[in-house]
Amino acid sequence: MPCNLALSIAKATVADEHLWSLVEPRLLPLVSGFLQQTYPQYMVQTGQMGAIYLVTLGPLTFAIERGEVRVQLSGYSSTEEQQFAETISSQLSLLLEEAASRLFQDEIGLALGQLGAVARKDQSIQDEAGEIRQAAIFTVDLPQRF
Amino acid sequence: MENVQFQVIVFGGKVQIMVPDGVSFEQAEAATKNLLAQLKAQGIPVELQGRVEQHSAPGATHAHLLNEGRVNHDR
Repeated sequence: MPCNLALSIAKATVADEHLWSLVEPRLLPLVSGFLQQTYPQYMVQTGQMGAIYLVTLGPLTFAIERGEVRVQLSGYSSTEEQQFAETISSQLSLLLEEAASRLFQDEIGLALGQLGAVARKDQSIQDEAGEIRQAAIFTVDLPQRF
Repeated sequence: MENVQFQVIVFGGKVQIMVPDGVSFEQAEAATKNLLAQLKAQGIPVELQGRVEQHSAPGATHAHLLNEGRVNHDR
């Protein structure tokens, strides 16, 4: 539906905690799979300390807590190691963000499907920061008083 | 009973619900709020941000969303 044909528009959001609850059960396989595929030259190990998930890639250890990725470096890390760690940290943050978005889209799609017939189309859109994001666009017909 | 067609756009943690022309704004507003309530009832804690906005109607002010994701936008 082109924007100019919409009679009404409503914006809604879910809290980050909800997005994290979708990702968390899948976190370690998701992250380790990505790292093994992207950096096959390094061994990947995973672990958990309470609410903190630990991922070790070669000499680097990343701590992931509620979607936040922190890298743990020794004080003797070289500039190259620090840059490498920051690169991977950014990649992991993006990976988690995209996974959360995808899982939330699936969740909404399933919920709409409980209400009526739903059609889904995935499309790139430009977000408020000018970034291209993958959006799921659902069309659903429901009785006025469903 | 007449149906309401919704278009629901989801990206990140955002949900944008559009209702096309064909029903009154009051009907669209009520149906949108009902849809959000149905999603909540299924365990999805979506919260309406602000209010349901009238976007376009003959003679009405074109209330536009700023800084939002744009889909099939004509400008």
